[in-house]
Order: sequence, then C-alpha cells, then structure tokens
Amino acid sequence: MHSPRDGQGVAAAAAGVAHPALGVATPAAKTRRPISLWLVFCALSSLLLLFMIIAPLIVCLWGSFTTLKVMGAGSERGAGWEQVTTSRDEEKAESQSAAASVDLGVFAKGARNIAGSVTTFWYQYVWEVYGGTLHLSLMLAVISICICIVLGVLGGYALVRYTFFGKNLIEEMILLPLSLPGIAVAVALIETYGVLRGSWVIILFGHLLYTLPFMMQSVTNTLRSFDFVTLEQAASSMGAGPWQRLRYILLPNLKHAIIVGSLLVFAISLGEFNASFLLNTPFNQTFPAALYDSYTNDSFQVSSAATCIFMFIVIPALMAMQLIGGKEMRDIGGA
Amino acid sequence: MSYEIRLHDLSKIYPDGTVALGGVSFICPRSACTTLVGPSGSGKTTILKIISGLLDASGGTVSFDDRVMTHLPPEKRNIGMVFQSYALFPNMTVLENVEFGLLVRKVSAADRRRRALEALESVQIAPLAQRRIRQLSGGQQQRVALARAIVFQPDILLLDEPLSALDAKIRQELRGELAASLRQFKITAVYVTHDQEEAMALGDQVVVMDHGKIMQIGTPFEVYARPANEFVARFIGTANLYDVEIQRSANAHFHIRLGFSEVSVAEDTFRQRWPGVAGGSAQLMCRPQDVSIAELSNAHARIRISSLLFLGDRIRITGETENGKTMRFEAHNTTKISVGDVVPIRLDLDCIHIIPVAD
Repeated sequence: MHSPRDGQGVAAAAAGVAHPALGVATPAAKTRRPISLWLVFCALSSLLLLFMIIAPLIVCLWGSFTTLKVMGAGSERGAGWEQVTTSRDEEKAESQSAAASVDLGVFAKGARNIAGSVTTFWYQYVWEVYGGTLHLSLMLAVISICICIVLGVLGGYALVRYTFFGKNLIEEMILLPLSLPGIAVAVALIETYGVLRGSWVIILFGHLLYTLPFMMQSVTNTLRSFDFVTLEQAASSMGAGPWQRLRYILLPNLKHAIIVGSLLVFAISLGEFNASFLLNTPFNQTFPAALYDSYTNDSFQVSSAATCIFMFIVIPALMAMQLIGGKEMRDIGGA
Repeated sequence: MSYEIRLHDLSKIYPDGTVALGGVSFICPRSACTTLVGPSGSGKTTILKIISGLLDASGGTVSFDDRVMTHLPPEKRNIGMVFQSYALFPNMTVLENVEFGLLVRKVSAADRRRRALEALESVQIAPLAQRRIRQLSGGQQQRVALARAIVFQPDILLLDEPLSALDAKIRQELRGELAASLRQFKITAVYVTHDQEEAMALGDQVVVMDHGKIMQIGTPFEVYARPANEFVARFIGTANLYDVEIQRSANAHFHIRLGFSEVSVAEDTFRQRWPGVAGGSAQLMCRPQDVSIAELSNAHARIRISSLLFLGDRIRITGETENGKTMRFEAHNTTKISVGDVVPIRLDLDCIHIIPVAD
C-alpha cells in the first residue's frame, strides 16, 4: 500500500520533524499541502546550480579586492610573479621598474607592499593598463547595436512580411555563423577583408556576424507573435502612409524586441572572445582578449579585477533584459 | 459626403492561376449598406480588399462616384474599415486607437480628443477610453473598431465580417446595434459576411456570390423569396427544392407537377410572378414556413415524418414524400406529432417560387 498520498504523508512527517521550530501547528497549517519530495529535489538542484554559478564570481570578487598579504604565498606563483622574482630583491625590483618601464608588471608597481587586507589597487591597475581595450569593446558593442537595429528591423520585417526567392536560404545564412567555430569565422574574415586587418572594423564585422542573428530572432519572433500585416493594413485604411505606419505602429510594437535584442547584442559583443582573439591586434585589442592576456601575464588579483569589471557591466544589462522581457510578455502577450 | 461605389468588370487572378474574382460589376448605392454574402472562397473579401486598395485588381475599375480609385493606395482613399480581427493597435489605448485616423490627418490634439470621444459615445463605450486594448471584451473591441473607422468621417465604410469572431449571443445583440449605427451614419457601406441572416438583416442591397461570380443582386426580400437560381435558394435560408414539370392547361392555368403532388396557378398570376418561365422543366422552391400541416381534404401531399427538431418556438420537421423526396417544414411547438406519423401538408401557393432550370 504505497499510494502517492502515503508518500506525501511521510514527506510531511519528515518535514515536520525537520522543522521543530515551526512548532505549534494551527489547524489551517495542518490542512496545508505537505512539502513533496519533488519540491525538495527542485530546491536542492537550484541551490547547486546557484552555487556553481555564484561561487566562481564570489571568488573573483574576493580576489579583486584583497591584498597579497591576505591572499598568501599561493598567489605569488603567477606568470607575472616570475618577472619580478628574477630580481630576487623587492626593493631593487621597485627601483628598477621606476627607472626602466612598466614591463615588469603589477608587482613592480608596489603591489606587494600594500598594507591592510582590502584594496582597489587591482582595479586601478586594470583601468590603467586595459582601460583602452574596454573603451574599444564598449565602442564596438554600441556600434554593433546600432547596425543590428537597422539591419535587424529592416531584414526581419522583410523576412516575415514578404515571400521571395531564396528567403529560407537567407534565414539560414544569418544563423550560420552561430554554428561555426570563431576561429573559422575569423580566418575567413581575415582572408576576405585583409585590407582591414589593422583596423577595428574587421573586429566589428566579426561581432556583427555573431550578434545580428539574435537581434533578427528577437524582431522576427515579435513580428510573428501578432498579426502586424493586418495592423498595418488597418493603419493604412485609416490614412497612414508608410512612414506613419513605421513610426506609430511598427516601431512602438517592436520596442521591446529592439530593447531586448540590443541588450543581447551588447552582452554578446562585449563578451565575444573566439573570433575577436584572432581578429584583434595589439593596437586594437578588445576587453575579453585583454582578459586573456591578464590571465596569462598578470596575477590572479588583476584578472579577478578585470573579470569583475566585465561582470559589473554585463550583469546589469542581463537584468534589464530579463525585466523588459517579462514586461513584454505581459504587454503584448495578452493583446 | 457619401459616394456610390461603382465596380466595373473587376477581376482578380493570382499568379498561380487561381481566379478569385471573375469579372464582377455592380453599384453600391449612396448612403446604403450593401452586403456581400457567400461561402468562403466566393470572392466577397477580395472585392472588399480591392475597394479598400489593400489588394490590386487584375482588371476592371473601382470608382467612388466619378473618381476612379483603382490604383490609389488605401491611405489616399478616405475609407473607414472594420477588420474581422478588429486589428486594434495593442500599443495604444482605446482613445489613441480612435484618434489615430485624425492624428495622421494632422487634426489638432484638442479636436482629436473631442471627436474621438464623440465617436466612442456613439458606440456607447466612452467610459472605456483610457483602457488598453487587451482589457476589452470581444464585443467592446468590435465597438472600438467601428468608432475608429468612422471617426474621421470617411467617404466609404468597409466591414469585413465584423461580427464573426463573437459569441452567438453577443453577435445577435451587436447585429441590431450595428444595423442602427449604419443607418444613423448615413454612409455608403459594404459589409462582407458568410452569414446569410446577417446579410439580410443589415443589407439594403444583398449581393450573393459564389466562385468569384455574382449569383444575385437584390433586396433582402428578393434574394430570400425570389432566388434567381438554385445556389441562392440553397444558400439563403433553408429551401425545399423539387424538379418540376410545368404545363399550361386549357383552362388558363399552369399545372406544376412535383412528382408527389401537383399544384396549379392561374396563368395571369404565373406570368406576372415568373415572367422568365415558359413551361417545361423548372425547379420549385418552398421555404419550411410555406408548408403547413393541413386537413386531408385540401392537402397537397402526405409526408412521413423522419425526424423532429424542437427549436423552442416551433418544431422543425423533416419528412419524406411518397416518392422519397425530402421535405423540411415547421409547425407550432404545441403540435402533437411523432416520428413515423404520416401527415397531410399543404403548400402556401402565394409563397412558392419557380426557378428556371440553368442551361
């Protein structure tokens, strides 16, 4: 006799034992549905997932604010450390760096002498050394958004509204870069647009290939979710010309799709590494590529700070995306 | 200002060769409602879309009075249109939806608001002006769609099955209101529907269509009581149709042989009512309410009842004639009959209609 009800009863009993603090059960609480094993599993797996994602972030955050003294000797085994250990003598290293160049890296700047346990030194260092790459990355992201909005809205509209020869092929071609390795895309771009090799424009090309599909998808999904052809027909029957239809009907109804698509483009462009890594040059380095440099050349603290800067920019964008996405579901979904 | 709509030899042939409309000409009279009715694929919506400019005709012309509109885009035709799905703009409130036609005509904000509220008043939903579209019921959306279509005083009002998305009960209510509104607006209206009752209730002129051709144009009474052909007879209302042989007899009467019965009509009456019918083969149509249970002495036929349908106020009876033809007729709900009974019936000779056999 193991009916599901019995199982729930056992679970309820277990829950009761597990939480003696809840103590005095009112009659209402007794009739409440017992916590099922299923719920417990869900909660546990959610916690695990949270831990897997959040733990590295916390470690990064911790690393980005702590001094070497807190970190201990373990942190002194980075690639960057070796540059300084060659000199053996701290004082000597410092004088050397002051005299020679910044080539000696973060430790040459006195990183080891910072007192206390909390510091913003790593952030200052990242800002100083990688600030230019962050600037380039942000610029690329913004330009990508602008181009994606124009191409995504016009292209998405054409793809949904009209039927024409090769339409499916075009749709597939737009999605194609997503399924290609970044290296392949980068090599193809370099082969084709070699002239642009030294310029950031070629990196922009790479970013567009990876971001446009998302803007396109966002726009076409929304266009397919409501009968915009009839809305446009209605508008034109009421006397609205093409521009008025675009301004009053199409764009307002696509607003959320464009915002969500833009944030997606922003996040992807800013974080794009595979293609950018091959496409960038020392003079045109993107922030993720610089991150890689910092992992290989600098200490754990520096790369932590760089990662955190990246997170501070991207996480708000993702949160905004979720917020707006949810609002869109409420606004358009019910109509 | 209202215009009459003149359609001349309109045709629409799609690239794949489908003929949606095969050379249609008629006039929608000024300030009156013309209903286009027919089964799906009959071309009625095609005509509406060509009048609106949303669809280009393959041939023929559309003119509002003498102004040829054939190649003007919809926004240049000054038409109001109510769509089957209403097509209200989800990004705007009710008021903004109604104001839209005025907005694109560059009417000042204050004027827009006043006129939009007036239009909402005329369809009795002014209190809902600030609502979002998704907060409205189907019936309310329909009213907004109507208000939105008339607020800028269009020359022509086009309605594409505006009631078909509603529940049966609301549809009946709104049908009456819509009929009243259309009369009040005094606007030339074209109303597309597949519901023949709606077509008759709302139309001053009914155009019955099938397969891209006009089957009959007439007043609601004409298409109902004097259908031009078998299609119209069957499509509009319920009809009993029988192949008949008509013969002129010596005593100035026409004898109509039904196979299970025979009726005769005086020659004068016959010629007056059916001038096109000379004699020989034809079809006789009688509506269910034109057949009644009669005394045996003056009955036209005997019907064996095969099924009964209780409709509340009356009973719909389906029976078989002696030669196996089906006859549907009606009786008052108190009539005591049951399946299997054989009852004498009589045709109301003032209401029967003769349809000449198509060549």
